[in-house]
Amino acid sequence: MITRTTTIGSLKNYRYNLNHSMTTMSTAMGKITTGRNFNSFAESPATAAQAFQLRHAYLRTASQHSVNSELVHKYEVAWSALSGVESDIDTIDNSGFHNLIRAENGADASARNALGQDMAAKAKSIVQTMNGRYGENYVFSGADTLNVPLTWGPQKNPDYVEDPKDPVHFQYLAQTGLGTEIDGTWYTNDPDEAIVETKDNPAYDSNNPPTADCPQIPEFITYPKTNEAYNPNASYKYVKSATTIDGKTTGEFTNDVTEANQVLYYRGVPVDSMAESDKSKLDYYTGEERKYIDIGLGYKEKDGSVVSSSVQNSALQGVYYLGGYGTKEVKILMDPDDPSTERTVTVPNNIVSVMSRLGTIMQNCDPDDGSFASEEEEAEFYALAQQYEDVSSLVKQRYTELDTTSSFLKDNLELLEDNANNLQDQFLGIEDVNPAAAISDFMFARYSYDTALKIGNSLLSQSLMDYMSF
Amino acid sequence: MGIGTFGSFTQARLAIYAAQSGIRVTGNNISNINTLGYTRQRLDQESLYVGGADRYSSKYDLRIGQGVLCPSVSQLRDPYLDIRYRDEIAKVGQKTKKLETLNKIAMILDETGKGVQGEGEDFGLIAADLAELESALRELTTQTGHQEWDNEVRAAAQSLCAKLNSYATRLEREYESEVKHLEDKVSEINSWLSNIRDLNETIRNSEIHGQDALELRDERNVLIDKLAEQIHIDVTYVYEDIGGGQQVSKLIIKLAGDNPDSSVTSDSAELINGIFGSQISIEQVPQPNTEYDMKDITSLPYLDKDGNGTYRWEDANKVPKPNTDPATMGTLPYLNDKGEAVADEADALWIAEENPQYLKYLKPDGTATNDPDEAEKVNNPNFNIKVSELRDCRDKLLFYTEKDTKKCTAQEYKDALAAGKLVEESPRDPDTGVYTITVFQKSSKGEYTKTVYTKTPSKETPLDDNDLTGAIQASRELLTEEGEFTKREVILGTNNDPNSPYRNADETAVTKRGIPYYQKALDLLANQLATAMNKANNGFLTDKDGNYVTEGVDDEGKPAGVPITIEYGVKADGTPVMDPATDVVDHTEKYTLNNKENLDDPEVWAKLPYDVRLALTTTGKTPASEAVKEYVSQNGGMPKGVNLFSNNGDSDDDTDITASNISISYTWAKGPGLVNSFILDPNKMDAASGDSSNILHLMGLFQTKMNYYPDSIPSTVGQANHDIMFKGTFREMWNNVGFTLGQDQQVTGTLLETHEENALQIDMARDSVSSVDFNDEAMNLMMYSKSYNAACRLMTTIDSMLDKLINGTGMTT
Repeated sequence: MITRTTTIGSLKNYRYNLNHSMTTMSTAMGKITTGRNFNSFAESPATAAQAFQLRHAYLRTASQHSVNSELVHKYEVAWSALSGVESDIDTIDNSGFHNLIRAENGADASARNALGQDMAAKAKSIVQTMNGRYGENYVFSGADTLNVPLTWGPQKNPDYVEDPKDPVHFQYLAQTGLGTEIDGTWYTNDPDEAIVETKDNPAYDSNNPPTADCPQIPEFITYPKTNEAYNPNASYKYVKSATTIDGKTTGEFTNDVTEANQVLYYRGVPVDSMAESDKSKLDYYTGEERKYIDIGLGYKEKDGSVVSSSVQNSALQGVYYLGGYGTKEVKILMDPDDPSTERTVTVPNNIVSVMSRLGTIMQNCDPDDGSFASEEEEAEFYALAQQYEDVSSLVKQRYTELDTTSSFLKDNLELLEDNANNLQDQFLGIEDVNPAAAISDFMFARYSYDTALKIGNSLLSQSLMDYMSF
Repeated sequence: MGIGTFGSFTQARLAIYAAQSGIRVTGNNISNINTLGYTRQRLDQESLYVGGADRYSSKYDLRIGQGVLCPSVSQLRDPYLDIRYRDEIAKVGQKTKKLETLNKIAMILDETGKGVQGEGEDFGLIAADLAELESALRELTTQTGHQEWDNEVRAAAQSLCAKLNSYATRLEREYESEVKHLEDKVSEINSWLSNIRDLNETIRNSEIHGQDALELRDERNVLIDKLAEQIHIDVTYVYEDIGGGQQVSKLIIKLAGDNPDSSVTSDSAELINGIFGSQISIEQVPQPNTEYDMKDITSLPYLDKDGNGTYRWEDANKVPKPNTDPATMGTLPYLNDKGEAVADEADALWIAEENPQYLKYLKPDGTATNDPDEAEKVNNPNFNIKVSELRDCRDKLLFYTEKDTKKCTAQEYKDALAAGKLVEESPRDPDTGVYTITVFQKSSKGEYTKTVYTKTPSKETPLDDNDLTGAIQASRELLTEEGEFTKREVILGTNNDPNSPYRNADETAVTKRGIPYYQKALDLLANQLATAMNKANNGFLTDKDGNYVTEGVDDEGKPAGVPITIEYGVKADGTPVMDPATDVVDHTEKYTLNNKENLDDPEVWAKLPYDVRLALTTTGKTPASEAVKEYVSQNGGMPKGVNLFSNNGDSDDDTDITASNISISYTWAKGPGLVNSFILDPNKMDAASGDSSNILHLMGLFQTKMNYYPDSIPSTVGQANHDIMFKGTFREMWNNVGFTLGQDQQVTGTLLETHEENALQIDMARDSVSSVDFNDEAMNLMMYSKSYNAACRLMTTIDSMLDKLINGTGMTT
């Protein structure tokens, strides 16, 4: 039997289809007015999730671009500072190197005082340059960005021993019960209290008996027993001016901090210190301390630590870029033709320290003829001159390193910009409607809806009733 | 036998009546074309034939019918289409309700196309805040130590907290609105059930008096259709013997038996049985006591290891779950996580030790009690529905009758007669209410019978979790289903625990997600974020190698960090003592505690010297990483950091953080709170001023894929499964919430469309049988009009014939 189609049934079906048609048109209209392919997860869960993922990646890339940009600026400041330093230490005119060449030249010896002053001023200038800031942060202070990295401070006497009851302060070994007892041994600075020791008198000649003119020469000499550990410098806290040649430090020492020689400190640690504790701190600063920044290299952690290749270290250690820290032993021939005049001079590794010490030595020269104040200082001068060349070369090398990193950061900045643009293209490609398609979809939906309305109109009006006549 | 003289007039008159009635029925159909539920009516006509075989009949007699009768008006309805329609409309109701509520949830959680205008347009709200927080931390790595940048991070975190709070509040409102909706719907359904029951009675009375009550049936059908949208029902009509050989139809409505568990019978509970009807209700349970007061032992549900009360599951002492089944508890004293009895403690499910002094309920006045009858009654947390016993409109209880007739002896009959107990009613069983009526009878043929009528009262039926289909079930599921956060007792069922709301296992519960799922997913995100950030911002200072340090002095006498160590015995061969029972200690070495070694790894832990393991175990903390921190804390370690997030803005309390309470901690709100680094600068007793290693780690948390466990939020700890429900970053977790919701909406929408289409087709099929059509009615109008004309013509013709017969026959001129 043919299914009976009724007025009510047709109307219900019509209502359902009309509603459908209206919804389709509304959706098409929504796409045109919002310009988006979807406005909820429900419309396309996977696409919406993908769009959010791309948008988040875009925001992250934008943020990485921002910090990368900061870093580029910081490196530009650093590059500029090191450029100034490089100029101070190694250009033909008016540089430290220029001063040094002149000072080495005997003809200009009389100008050593003035050259020394200029050299010392340049050292101070370099420190000021290296203490520059980008924004509110010190550029060259490693991870300690809020504190000034390079400072001048008193040169500490490495041999200083604070404890007065340390054997280094006593010249003699004392007789038991006299002087000061330290760990069961008695010490004194009074020769009368010292243990008396005797030794053969080389002047004694048993074949030459005494005469009236010449009294008997004693067969033995007595003397107070010296303390091997005694160091006369150990009681001074600071160094006024000292040179270390062949492992021995000689010079002037003081306990008055205002008289002390001013040396370079990096983050509170004396740069030229030979003390192991200071060296290990500076080792940490220059070798291990990191200030990592996420600049879109694929940040990753492994076992609770950041994978170094996934981040950029932004800690610029001033001491590193100035040649390093600690000291080095340089061999010098006092007489180029006499190998026996070779001296081993301990010189600093840091260019500022080298320049500063050169300045001091040059200023100590005779103002008239420019001769060095002492043979030790002369030896040290030539050792420092040799070191100057080595360190300035190292500074240049590290300047190049920084330049390379700076270039990398600039390249990365461009890469991030490209990434951000690509990501934006991607999520807009997913989200944004194709206007032509959207409009034609809408037109078709409206056409369907209009047609549906017309059908409804005829459906409501037409039935057999309309044709009945009695 | 021929027709009487005026019989033909009667024939014509009946024809006129029939045509008139036909016109009236057609008129009624046309009038009700827009009446909801109206079923088109048809005039039933039959040919009138009077008389049977005559005693003295002649074969030449001509027997002609005497006209037309209209005995009734009937409805045109196909009961099978009704069944199919009601099956389908229940699914439509369920999906419509679900989609409607999911759309409301989506209005809160779906951030597609949302976001402030300008730069942040379309980046979402929480999604944008998560990105902003990450970005602010990244910026802080370049600006470490500067307060304004720290403030930027805090502002981003504050914005995120505010949004999480707002979303949680809106979800809570949606939940409350859904509760109200369910309560209203239950009330509405009850009024429909009462109406159907009352209509049944009226229809029954009409039927007894020979009326069809077609309009009342239509009204009842409309109510049944409405009911079917809310609850999937099984509608049947049976004949009821009302005595005197008369039968009337009886409507029975039952639940449609949708529970997939074949052992469950409550899924076919009766809602209507003729003139008896039930009511449904949400089960009420005593208000649980959640007014925790640490000073009042009776307010704390658990005991900790020291026997002190606690309300936190995590702090409670854990004991193996006891097996209370007397049949097996002797040999298998424990239950495992699947509810199976086991012998070994290690295989058992460990639960929190209950506090015997805990007063479980709250009275209406807010005081605690253990008496469930005294307690205030609230909705069952599972919103269990129960079907009441069936009663008629006079509140008379329905008794189901079973009849058992057997032959008896004459003596038995006589004894009963002598005792005046030919009809005897037994007393009612006090527990079941069942009673019997015994009737002795003697038939006209002299047979003796004894008939026992067993009368069983209708009873209240608590429904199982999956007994219902329809909009009501959708509401229930939207209010209760927690997806992956579902408690174990829901998945496994608690048949042996009469106090639990979860009567039978619902193994598919983890795949159903209602409002609580989305609330808990949001809680999990907030809790995971807060926990991870707080953990990362609290620690102990270490040296550059990661060794935990205590305050000491260096070689120069300057303050410095000294590593914290544990001494351990070494054997003569130089290897550490691993087992003191068998090894001989030669001398001791020091093990330095550091944050690089992952002692939580069992392999790493096993390689530790015995003394180190012993010292860490003695702290009483687990896992090993926590034991290390405890040891460091007890041995001069230098703690650093504060909680960044807390459960309210007035403290730093980080317990039980959820989306609704997550706040910036009090300390962080006051000033700088982020720890830049835990690594000591070797030249001072603090980290380097710009060291941002910890800030970077905090930022890294936003790029770290973490495991999300459903049992790690306050409301599910110890109760839900400890299975990874998602692995990803905070942002991915948030995206997953939207994705899950969107997918649920999409699937529900597609199913709804299918069911709607089906329902429409079936409804149209119903309409093709039952609804009024103008063409049909126009035809009827013409047909009955013509019939009427013809009947009138017949009358005129007969009149003319009689006139001829009476006035014109035999006349002579």
